[in-house]
Amino acid sequence: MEFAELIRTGQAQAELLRGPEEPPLRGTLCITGHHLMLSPGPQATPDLWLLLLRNVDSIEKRVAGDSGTITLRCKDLRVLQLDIEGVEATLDIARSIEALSSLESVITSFPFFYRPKGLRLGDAWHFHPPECYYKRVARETNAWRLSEANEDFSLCPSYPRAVIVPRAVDDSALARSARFRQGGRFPVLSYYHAPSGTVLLRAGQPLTGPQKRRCSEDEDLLRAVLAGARPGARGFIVDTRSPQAAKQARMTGGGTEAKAAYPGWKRLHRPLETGRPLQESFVRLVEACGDLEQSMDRWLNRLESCRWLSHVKETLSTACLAAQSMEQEGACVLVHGAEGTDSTLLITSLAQLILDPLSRTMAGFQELIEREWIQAGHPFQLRCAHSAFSHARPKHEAPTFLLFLDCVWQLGRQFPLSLEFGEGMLLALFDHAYASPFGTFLCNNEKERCLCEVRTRTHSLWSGLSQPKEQRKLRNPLYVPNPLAIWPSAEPQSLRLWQGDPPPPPWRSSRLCSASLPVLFLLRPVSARDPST
Amino acid sequence: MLGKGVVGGGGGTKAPKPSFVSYVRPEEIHTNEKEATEKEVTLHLLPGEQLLCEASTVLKCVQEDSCQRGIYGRLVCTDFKIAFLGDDESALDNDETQFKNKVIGENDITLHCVDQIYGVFDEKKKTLFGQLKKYPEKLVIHCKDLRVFHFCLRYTKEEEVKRIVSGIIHHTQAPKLLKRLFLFSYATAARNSPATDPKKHAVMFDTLQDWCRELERTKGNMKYKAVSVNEGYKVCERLPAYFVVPAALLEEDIVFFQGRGIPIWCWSCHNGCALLKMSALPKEQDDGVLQIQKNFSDRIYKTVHRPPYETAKTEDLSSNFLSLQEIQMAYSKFKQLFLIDNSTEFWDTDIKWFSLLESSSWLDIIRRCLKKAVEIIECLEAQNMNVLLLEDNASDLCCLVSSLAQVMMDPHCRTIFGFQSLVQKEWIMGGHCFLDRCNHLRQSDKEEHQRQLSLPLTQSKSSPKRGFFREETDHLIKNLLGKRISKLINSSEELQDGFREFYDGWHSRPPSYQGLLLPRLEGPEIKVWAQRYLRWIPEAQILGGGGVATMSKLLEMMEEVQRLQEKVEVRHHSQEALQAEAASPPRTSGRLSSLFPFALLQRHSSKPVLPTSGWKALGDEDDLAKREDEFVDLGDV
Repeated sequence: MEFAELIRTGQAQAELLRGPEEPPLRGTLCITGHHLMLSPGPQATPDLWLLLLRNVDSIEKRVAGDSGTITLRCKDLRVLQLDIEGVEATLDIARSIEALSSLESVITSFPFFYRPKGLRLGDAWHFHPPECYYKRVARETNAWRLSEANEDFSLCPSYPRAVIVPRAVDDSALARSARFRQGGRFPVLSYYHAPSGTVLLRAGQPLTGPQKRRCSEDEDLLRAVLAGARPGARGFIVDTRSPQAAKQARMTGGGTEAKAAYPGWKRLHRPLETGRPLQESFVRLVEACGDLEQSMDRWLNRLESCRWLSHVKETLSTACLAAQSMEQEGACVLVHGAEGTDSTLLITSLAQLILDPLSRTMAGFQELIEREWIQAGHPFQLRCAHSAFSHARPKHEAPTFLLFLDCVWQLGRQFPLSLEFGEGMLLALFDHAYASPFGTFLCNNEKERCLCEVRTRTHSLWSGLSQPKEQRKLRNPLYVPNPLAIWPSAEPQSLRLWQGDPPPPPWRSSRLCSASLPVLFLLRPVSARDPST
Repeated sequence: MLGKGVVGGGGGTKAPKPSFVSYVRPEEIHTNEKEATEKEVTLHLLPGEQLLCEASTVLKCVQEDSCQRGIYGRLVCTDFKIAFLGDDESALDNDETQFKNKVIGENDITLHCVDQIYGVFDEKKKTLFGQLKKYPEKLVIHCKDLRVFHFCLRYTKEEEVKRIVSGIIHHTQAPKLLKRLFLFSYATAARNSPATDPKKHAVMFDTLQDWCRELERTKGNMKYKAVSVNEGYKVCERLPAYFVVPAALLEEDIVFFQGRGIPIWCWSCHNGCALLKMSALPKEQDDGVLQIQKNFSDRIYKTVHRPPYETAKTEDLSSNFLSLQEIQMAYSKFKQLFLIDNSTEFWDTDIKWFSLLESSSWLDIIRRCLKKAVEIIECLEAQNMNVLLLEDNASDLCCLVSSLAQVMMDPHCRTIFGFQSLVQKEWIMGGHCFLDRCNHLRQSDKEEHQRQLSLPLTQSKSSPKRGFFREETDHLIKNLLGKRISKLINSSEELQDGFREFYDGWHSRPPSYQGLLLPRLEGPEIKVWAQRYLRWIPEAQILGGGGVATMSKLLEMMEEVQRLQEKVEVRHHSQEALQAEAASPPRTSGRLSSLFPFALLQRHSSKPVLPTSGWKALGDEDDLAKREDEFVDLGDV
């Protein structure tokens, strides 16, 4: 397919509104296959790459007289307003942006065309977390092994090729356990906590169904986990659904572990919302933030009613529970909800940040994201298809990853010295998860990434971020390694709304739309100054 | 809320809320009993302090979760404080002793600090006052600094219970004579206070020179003069002995209505505009008197509206701004959010936290105070007008608004001594009725609604102010100010446009920290001052984290820079490489909690702040899981 077919007008004269303190910027607006650019003319500053078209979440057009206005609301929560000369031009530009921004094909997306200077293809794809992480585990314990049973993604399409499993369980048992778990997600090791010798596992829900089916290999696997930890070890199964929801899941073939079948394991239910309620909460939050003028007096009520912070609170406290079980109670923990690709990953990754000092370093955090989100099969493409401004009804969208980043931000705020990375890192990850020139967040799982040859044909975000000029923005200058667990307070009094990094100061606002698509701020509506209001 | 199986949709797991009363059983506490009898803590009395009554074998309850534990000790009441003497004072870390209060211990409650006293009778909590017919089994004391103490009297001898309870009630609630306040006996007993260097001292504003110097400092001495007409409080008791008025004002006018109806100078802006305050003329019915008042006001008006004086804008704080009752009501609602009897209660407020916070409207009051100050600054700075604050006695909201405006405009007020001087000038000399507003003398209930006004007032002023102050000194202000492009604040108002332009304009320019500083006024920017309000709530503390961590890190770095600077200087002078001098050991910030230096009571060095503790609590869940499985089994049949 040719992009040219979708571009009705390649160019138009336009003005970019930049807030009341700055004059609008005039220039020629250009649409390319992936970008929107504003070229202010030969004498002025270089062209501004306004945005990646994939970043457009909603587009609003208005015409009056012989000109028009387009308001672009972006997935990274920026709002851009352009005044365009000519009614036809306005409509054509708007239609072109609409068409180009809603392309779903992965292999025609920008990362497949992005060839920055100074980076080589294939760099930084050398993170192979399962193998790499396995080496770390193997140094400490002999109870685990690296299994390549999923080499061709036949056991579980959303797991990577290699996973870490109990040494005592062979690949054929894994295959049977996989058939017993939703999406084939049999229990695998997520984190080994050396100080207490306990492990964190994740899985999909067991497919017990109304008949209360059992699977002896699955039971053996979990028994082997406890036996591998130490004789008489106990475990908790943290189910991220309410007991009712877990019970109801049986009607549709799912369910939860029956107590009798898994001796030594206790089930804890910590309902965490995912999917549509989470997406709606995000939309309401962004609405409330963009609506400050009206809601000034009722701000706190609105903040409460959008429930975002209670999601943060529940998530953090569940992660704390998992961490506490491992560190204080010396128990192993298995986390799953239904599919095991959303709240499950939230909990396992946050528990690691709480417990593991290594995951709080720059490299460790990137490895954690790669291992616990990307390779663990969080469906980024589905979840991040739209952000808070889209008018489309959410189908698979959910800001699970943003919720994770928010929780990490809360950790960083509560422990300002203990994370090596700063807010800039979290914002960069948020932006790149929704629209990115890099291939890291493309597709829904490793299998799809293999099919699209993402690793060989796109650049990795990690190599992008490792450039020295980026590093400066991502680091926490106050970092002091903290060997201890960091226990956050998850009370609402201790949680803050993540308002995001301040925008570049307006008196240096030439940076506002500089070519590198700067990391902007999260809840920018506070400052977003949506020019249409 | 953690580990409680709460959360919407959770099935019937909600832990039963423990009833209020403590049911500590002797077998749970006898371990401490022995120790308590062995370690007798001596009562530390200040000079002039007298022991009034005491009771032994009182159990101070530590209320965490629903498990109830306690420490035995002696409860005493002196003419200064209520003190509990137990073996609670475990060894403190170095960092903590550094900040230990030498006058008021962890378990001391000064009589001034007592807010409400409750008794628990048969598991019911009742306010205690006056003569008691029946004595409670438990005493609950809510303090003005938001601590909550529970003293169980069940194991105390009846005689002693009577004595201590009625003693405490009497000494904290009965009306008092000013002369009987403890500080007077203290001052008599401890006369030899060390002399302080006058340079390192706040300006007291109790001499004519102090005011003259302040006039010079702000360059207000051309148009304003310090007067001594009230020396010996001949004119009026409300006003200080010395104060400043427009130079053109006649002394007889000051005397005419006992200092009412005349503009009194607060502060001069760099452009010559001044912030003035005025107490209203007495309300009169009589036409003749009204006419006299009118003529007087006109004369004053003419004097101060003629050049060299700028036109003055009058800001009537009595009618167009917050009322004291509003502030008082908001504060009493607000403080209830922090006076927590037990942790369960605290978790129960979790879900409603923001709406409870909002319904107290305390944060909104803070916002309105800040906004009023910014409006006044806009008049002074942008419109080159004088601002005349008008209030009945010019001693409540006038103090608040004018000191806020000065902190924002005058960098001197953001230094430690400048800030102390400002409080002295605007609040102490400004005649704020601390005694009434805090009801230190426990006057009758008639003034109930007026009680404690200054507490919220000082807080409403000091919370934003303190923010400023500290950030200024730490160069952290960048993080708070001057970055976000703003949206505006309130709808239709006359000065809206000018105000908005001023406010937006300031925030879009790089701030000069030695000049005007404006706070953000948007709702989300006004936050609960955690260090003030949450300091006694263990659930809200973050061990080894919080702003305290940043702060101590910065202090460490500053000290290191200083050390290096000194080294450089020494080398510079002596050209000799220093022999490995014993470098002072770096401060070990240790694992301070975010509430440091408060909340010393809750020192669980490594315990995570998770209410769920281990197998016991989790066992409940297990039962649930079992039940559920059984239920399903039945269903299948």
